[in-house]
Amino acid sequence: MKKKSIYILLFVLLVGCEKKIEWKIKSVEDNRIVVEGLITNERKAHFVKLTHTVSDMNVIPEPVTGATVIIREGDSSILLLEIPAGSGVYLTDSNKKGFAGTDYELMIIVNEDTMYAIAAMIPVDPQTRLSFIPNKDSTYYRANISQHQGYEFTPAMYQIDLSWGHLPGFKNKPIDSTKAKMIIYEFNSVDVSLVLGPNKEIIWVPKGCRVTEKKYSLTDEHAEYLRSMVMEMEWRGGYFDEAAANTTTNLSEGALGFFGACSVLIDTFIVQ
Amino acid sequence: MHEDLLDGSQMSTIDLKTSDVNKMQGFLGEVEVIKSLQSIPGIKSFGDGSVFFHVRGGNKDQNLILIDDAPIYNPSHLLGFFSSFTPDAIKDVKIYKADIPLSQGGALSSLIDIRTKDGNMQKYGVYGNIGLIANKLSVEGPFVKDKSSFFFSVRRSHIDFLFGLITEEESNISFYDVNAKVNTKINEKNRIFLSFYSGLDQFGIPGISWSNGALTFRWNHLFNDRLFSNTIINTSRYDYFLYLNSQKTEFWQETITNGSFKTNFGFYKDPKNTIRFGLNISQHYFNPGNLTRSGAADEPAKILQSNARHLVTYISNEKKLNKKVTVRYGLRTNLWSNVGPSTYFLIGSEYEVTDTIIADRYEVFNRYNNPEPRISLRWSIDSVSSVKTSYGRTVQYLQLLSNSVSPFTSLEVWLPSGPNIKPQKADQVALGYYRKFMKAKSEFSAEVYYKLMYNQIDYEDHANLLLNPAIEGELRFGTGTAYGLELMMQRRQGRLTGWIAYTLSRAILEIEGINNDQPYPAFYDRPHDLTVYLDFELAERWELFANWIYTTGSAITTPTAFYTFQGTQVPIYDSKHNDRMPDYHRLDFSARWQLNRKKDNNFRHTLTFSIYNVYGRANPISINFNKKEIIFEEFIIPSNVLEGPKYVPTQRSLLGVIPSISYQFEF
Repeated sequence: MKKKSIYILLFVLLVGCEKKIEWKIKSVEDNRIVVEGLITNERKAHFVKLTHTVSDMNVIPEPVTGATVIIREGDSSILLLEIPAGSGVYLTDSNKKGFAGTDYELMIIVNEDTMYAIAAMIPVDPQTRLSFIPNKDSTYYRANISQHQGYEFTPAMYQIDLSWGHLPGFKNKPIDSTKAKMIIYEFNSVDVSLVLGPNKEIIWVPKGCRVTEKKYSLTDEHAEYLRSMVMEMEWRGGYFDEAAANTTTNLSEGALGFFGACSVLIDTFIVQ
Repeated sequence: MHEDLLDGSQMSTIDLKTSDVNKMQGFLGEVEVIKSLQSIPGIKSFGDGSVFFHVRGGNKDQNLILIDDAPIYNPSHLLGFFSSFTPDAIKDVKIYKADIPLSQGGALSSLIDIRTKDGNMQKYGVYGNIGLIANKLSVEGPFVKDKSSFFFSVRRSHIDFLFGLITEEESNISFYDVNAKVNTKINEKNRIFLSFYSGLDQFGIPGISWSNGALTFRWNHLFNDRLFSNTIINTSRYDYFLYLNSQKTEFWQETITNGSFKTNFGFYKDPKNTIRFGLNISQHYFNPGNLTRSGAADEPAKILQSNARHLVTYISNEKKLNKKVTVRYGLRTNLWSNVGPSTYFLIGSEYEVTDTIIADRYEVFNRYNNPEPRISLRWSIDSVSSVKTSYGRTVQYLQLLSNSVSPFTSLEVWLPSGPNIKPQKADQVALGYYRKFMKAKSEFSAEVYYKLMYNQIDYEDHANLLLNPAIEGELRFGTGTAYGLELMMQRRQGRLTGWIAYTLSRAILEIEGINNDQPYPAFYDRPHDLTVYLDFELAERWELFANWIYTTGSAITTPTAFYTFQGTQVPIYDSKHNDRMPDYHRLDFSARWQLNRKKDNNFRHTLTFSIYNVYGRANPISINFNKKEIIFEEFIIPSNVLEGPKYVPTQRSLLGVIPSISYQFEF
């Protein structure tokens, strides 16, 4: 046992460590607008969210209010309304539905600046239901993320909504503690920092958890943007990082973020 | 460190003997040839856990490492914690930071010329080392006394055994090196050598694996007392595998093979003129990374494999102008040809594919012709001091494409120059002053250098470098500028020996399409570099060593603002390499105890105790802004986008205080 302890000590010394540090961000004033917009083939209110950048970590961004936001589809235009007022979230009417094979043009006017983006909606491939792996006594489960890790995929994005507040023992818990949302990506590139990336938080959910899995189609441009974002966030901080760089965008005039158009497939099931 | 600074005609050259390397205890008590280079001014290590190094502002792929004239790629074990060469097998190591001999070339920034032991023609010898991570055994001796000898050395790790003690899980982490040489004196005018090297790493199940193999035949011939030649035929192969299943039937593989014929002549025309000339013909094959899958319905795009030929001729003259001044000048010519069969893409000015070209077998579809003039001058001021200066052009036809900032070797692509990638070139001038202090048994050297590099490579943001047939469209090209001052004071004799070395340097890149076309410091731009190495004979059987290294932190890119998208806080970078990692410094101690009472015993053995990183400096390998703390000092990438941002800046480091013990023997 003593001999084993020595080897374990050596192993721990060998592998290294991570620690929290004090680091002053070298802030540079950045007045650019951030656009997060998505139109899908779901019949619902589609959104374009406008915010400002922030100069430090963990700062909630200020919304960009009073902008004019229009989505053009062919010869028709839709004016999005900021709802609620001052939120920076601009919505179409709830009856709006997008179509695969259609190009959507976004125009945003903020003060005297006008920004544009074009997004094409392509069909989505059939989805394979996300599987869940139980813990030792099968009371809690985690999503099997590895089924989405590889290089041969047609690019896609998965939004996984999890809720378990309806289950016995969780009904009286604060609602924020009984739901979660994960986003998983499939790309068709081989990235070392994905293959050998940092540890990601595992969300454990109880048996009986309700899962809504949405699969979004991605154009090459949209996939490229999401890959650049993931390289900066999910795939950074392991032992095989790549050089840091800014994310791409399909927005003009230096705006940040992305305006996308996606076909969606939805699957709802219970973890069991 | 044996360095013929004063008297040798070559400048910017270090000659390391095995006795020097053996004294420099490295990580876990393993003596390291490549890692010991970081003590030399002008050579900067990438960092802890890394076998990469940078010489005078050059990138990590701009160093040519030869073992008995055969090139070695990725000379690392265990991802980079150890290097490939066993000191017991090494006779000497010559490091050229500039003024590279005309008989050699192919790398922009340095040549590391490793010669293995020839074998003792008089008597047999056995040497061994038992360490915490690996064991070594070497045997040498005569086949026929004074005529023929052999040397054989093997090093094998026992990490898998150690892991077996800690865990029941199967592990496959191991490495080995084998060196072998046969040396034969045919007669007074002819001598032949046959040397072999093989190194292999396996890491994980299914995991990764890489290997180097080299075989060299050398014939030294003396025509008469004024003309000699050496002729070398060698072949080498490098493979890297990423296995996708435990049966190893599906894998990503990269391969480089080389075969060359070289012949070099030395002609002592008269006491004032020594002429050297020669020829080198080599053939290369490159597979930059392809996927092999058994029974896969949709094969991913095949990555272009290619062949190249390289024809080199050179001639130089070392001329004594007078008693004090010697000049060496010459020219090396290069003809590089890309040869089919190959299918390649032409990349346009917007980095897009504009055409696809198919080259037939043996068809030469691209050529580069690059002369490399070199000149150096030595002025012996007096018997204790000299001044040297040199100018040289170097050309490099093979580049390592990697956007990684990791200290470890991983999936990387080696790609030859071709229609879309011009050869890298460098012009370097250097000036040095050398002085001996006889009473103090010390030497001082000061060198300044200025280097301009052309066709330097950087990458598009988030470049896609693996399994990308149009990989050349991810590259961006420009220039690099490096300059510096290297100072060293060295004491070679007495009970206390060692050196102190300081380098002040810069390495700046200017690449089209990167950083808004503005210059930026290279990742390996580390302006201050200080090394203190001490070796003290405490008593007849005790020797103490200390090594302290300090360098400025690497240039890194840190966020200057953030934006929120899909519940994630995304960094914004205002400029490339706008910041620096914390400075790197580390102290190592070791003590060697000679166990046999008499130094000249037939059986001699020693115990070496060492502590790596004595004061436990947490030297960072990365600074991150994308994790949250889940429990004390455990950090993770957040998954739940409904949770508000709770990011903390973190620093990842590798090596703490590492004590070790090793046992060496010889008889």
